[in-house]
Amino acid sequence: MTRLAEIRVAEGLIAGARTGEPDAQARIYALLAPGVFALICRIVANRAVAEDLFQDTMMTVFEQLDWYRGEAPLGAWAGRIALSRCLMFLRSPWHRARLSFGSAADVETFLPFGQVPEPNPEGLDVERALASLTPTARAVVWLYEVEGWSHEEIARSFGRSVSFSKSQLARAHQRLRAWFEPKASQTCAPT
Amino acid sequence: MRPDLDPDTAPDLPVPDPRLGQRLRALPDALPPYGYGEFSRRLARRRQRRDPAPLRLLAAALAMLDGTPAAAPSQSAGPASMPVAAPLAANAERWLNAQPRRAIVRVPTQMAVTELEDQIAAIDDQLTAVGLSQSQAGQLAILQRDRAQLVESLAQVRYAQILVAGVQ
Repeated sequence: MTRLAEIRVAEGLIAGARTGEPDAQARIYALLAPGVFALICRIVANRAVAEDLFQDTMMTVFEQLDWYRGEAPLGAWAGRIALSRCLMFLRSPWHRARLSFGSAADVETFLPFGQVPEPNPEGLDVERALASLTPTARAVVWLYEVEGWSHEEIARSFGRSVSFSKSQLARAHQRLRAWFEPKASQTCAPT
Repeated sequence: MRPDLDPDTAPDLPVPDPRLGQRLRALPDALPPYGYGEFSRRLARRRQRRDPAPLRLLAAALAMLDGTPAAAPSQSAGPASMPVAAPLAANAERWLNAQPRRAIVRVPTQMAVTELEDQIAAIDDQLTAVGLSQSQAGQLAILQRDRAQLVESLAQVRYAQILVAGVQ
């Protein structure tokens, strides 16, 4: 899994993209798109929604490239835009309505349409385990474990306290551990 | 706060399991739904939709088709590329809010109204996002200017609708 914060883009490439050079823009898109889409997919856990948010995020990245000051790697900057889009969606009345219909917890793998997934039971199981968490817990786990954000950074993004981030992570770990560890009650007793 | 009640130091929080993090990091990247070619086409379409100049022309054309002059109460004297003065847009918005919704409408005119209203709503969303980040004053100004232009265009179309309703 590519960490967005590790995606550094050469200054010349960014300058080219700002002036509208298609080659520079294509290379930046190729560098950012997989990580950005992965982040969005794992937070919202729904392919159709993820595609909408991905498009909005990538368009915002290119439209606001003039405002990028280079204080953080470009990947990290794009990741923050993606996260803000995801949080806006998760807080929206539309998402809450979807939750009430019970359709938001679909377990999906994120391959292009028509592509058959390769056999990867372990990966699929992790995807299912992740999808069993609440969207907020999923976002916290993903940002902390994969993207390497600190509790302080997560708390700032959510507009909450550090203890919110810590407790979300701890509960999510508890739930994920229960998912992966064999349960005593599920073992087959001899008849 | 007592240390045993402080959530930051509460002893009952389980220690994160490093193996879970490893499992998550081992997941493959998600392949994006389309490549740069398709993305750039979509980006160009969005920019085209956001450009208020064609919409202003459309508003004027619709007003002419309806047989009325394209002169809304808030129309500014400057060309489309000039920044619209905020008070004019505010007047136009107040005027728009005061107008009743008509039950019987012409489809092409109503489509233009709906399109403009959608774009204003999209810019409102962006303004909220930019306002929350509090670090993009330049972007905020651009969005506010675009919004003011769209409100003006909407006022022109709605004014034409009202005039035509009065004639009929």
